[in-house]
Amino acid sequence: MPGELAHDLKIPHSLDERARQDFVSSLRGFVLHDMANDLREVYHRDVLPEATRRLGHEPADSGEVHRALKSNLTFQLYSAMRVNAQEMVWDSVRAPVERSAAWINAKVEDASREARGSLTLDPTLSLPRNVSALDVHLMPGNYDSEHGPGDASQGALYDNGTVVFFMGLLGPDQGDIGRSIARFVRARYPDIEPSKMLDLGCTLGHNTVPWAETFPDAEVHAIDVSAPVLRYAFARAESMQQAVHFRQMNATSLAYEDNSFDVVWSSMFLHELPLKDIRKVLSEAYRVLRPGGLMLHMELPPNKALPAYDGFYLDWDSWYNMEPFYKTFRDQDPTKLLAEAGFPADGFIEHVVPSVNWYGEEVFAGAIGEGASVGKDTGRLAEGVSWYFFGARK
Amino acid sequence: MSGEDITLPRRTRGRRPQFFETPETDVLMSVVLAMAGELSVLYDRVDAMQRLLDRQGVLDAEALEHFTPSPEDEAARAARRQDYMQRLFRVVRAEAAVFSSKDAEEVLANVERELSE
Repeated sequence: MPGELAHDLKIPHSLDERARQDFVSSLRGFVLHDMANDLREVYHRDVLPEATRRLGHEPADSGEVHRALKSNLTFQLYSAMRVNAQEMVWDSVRAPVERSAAWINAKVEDASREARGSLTLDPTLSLPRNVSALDVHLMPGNYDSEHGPGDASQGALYDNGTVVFFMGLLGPDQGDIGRSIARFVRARYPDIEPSKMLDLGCTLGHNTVPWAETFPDAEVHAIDVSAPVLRYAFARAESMQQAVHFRQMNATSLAYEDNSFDVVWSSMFLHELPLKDIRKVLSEAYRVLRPGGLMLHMELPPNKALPAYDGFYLDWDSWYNMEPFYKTFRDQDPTKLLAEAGFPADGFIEHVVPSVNWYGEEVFAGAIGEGASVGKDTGRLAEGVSWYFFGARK
Repeated sequence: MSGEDITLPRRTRGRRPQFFETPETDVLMSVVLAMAGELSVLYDRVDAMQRLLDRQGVLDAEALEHFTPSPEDEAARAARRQDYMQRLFRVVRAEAAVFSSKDAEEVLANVERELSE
């Protein structure tokens, strides 16, 4: 069992549905572990020597590795099974979400009575094409489809699906990325003491709520362009007794004042945007940060930090998981992007933070303590689970 | 839970990637994986039942062997099998809409050629 959601929007799944989700989690484990190891071995043993002869040099980047592998059966089997497993993630939770959709939508309405936080939607906001024209992660309907007035069911689909997708790695509230990094920031940057912070592209708010929990005195804001996930996020945060102010807004054009936030944060967000939007988002983040404030983005490590094969392995999602901007983003040099956005060159920071859910409180606390070497291996996805982030002080 | 109907989309926008030489192989891979999934679901259910029955000391092996479904049982089992078909052949149905007509024609032409050889 990949794990149950630890909030009041948790919906019932039948015995067979749970078994189906368990199967998909196991299938993903098999593909991402056993088959991925086979693929790496076959590449280095068979494909690399042949491609090197043909090209006159070793495949030098992710694209050349991809082209060399395309006709290889191990690559084809790995990729076909991974795409199917991805489709089956959503398929395995769709029926329970459909059955409970009306109940979920009623919970959203209930949440607005006596709320700690708030939900502000903007029906006039025009959705960017990278959201309205795509089904990111192959999730049918994406973040934005509404199946009736006030509908939040795509949020429920995403929440229940990601539990299956991450095989429970993110913990019962799926907050591990936000929690691990917020606690890291609290330990490493004690001078920040955020009184006001902003999460960009928050979807379910699953990585927003841990910031509210880690910094209980901070006023926490979170934005996304899609109303269905924001409705869900709001009801979800309220059910967890956390005050978050959710607002429908595009991160490329923030409606907040200059110098108004101590921390601007995003997780797994930038890589879904076209490069021109990434630039706008970073400039806007710079504008709304107070001097000395901290911007940080949890992301996949950039290609420049990885050998060609490892770059290819991560770029797979760009080609086959409907995340078309993922590779372009990973090909960028984050230090340059931040300099272009106005951040001082010496303000750049990047770290690899261990997962608190994976390692447990004690090991985690030891690993982020003073003098620990976390942050040196920015390129390596080490044994176990670790999260990479980069950012800057303004 | 309310019984109000909300139907979520079944299909992903865009074209499904083809990894194998012929699209039929990609389709078969999907069917095989769905089948493997349903087999696993079935195994888990049987396993759960056996363990529960064993714990409660109520499993009558003879009765299990001679089980005859009532008409109501039969209707429920038929409905479940229909549901099973929908999942097992999910990709076969989605393909019809997701592939462009040109791709569908290519598939047909390939199958036709092979069958007439």
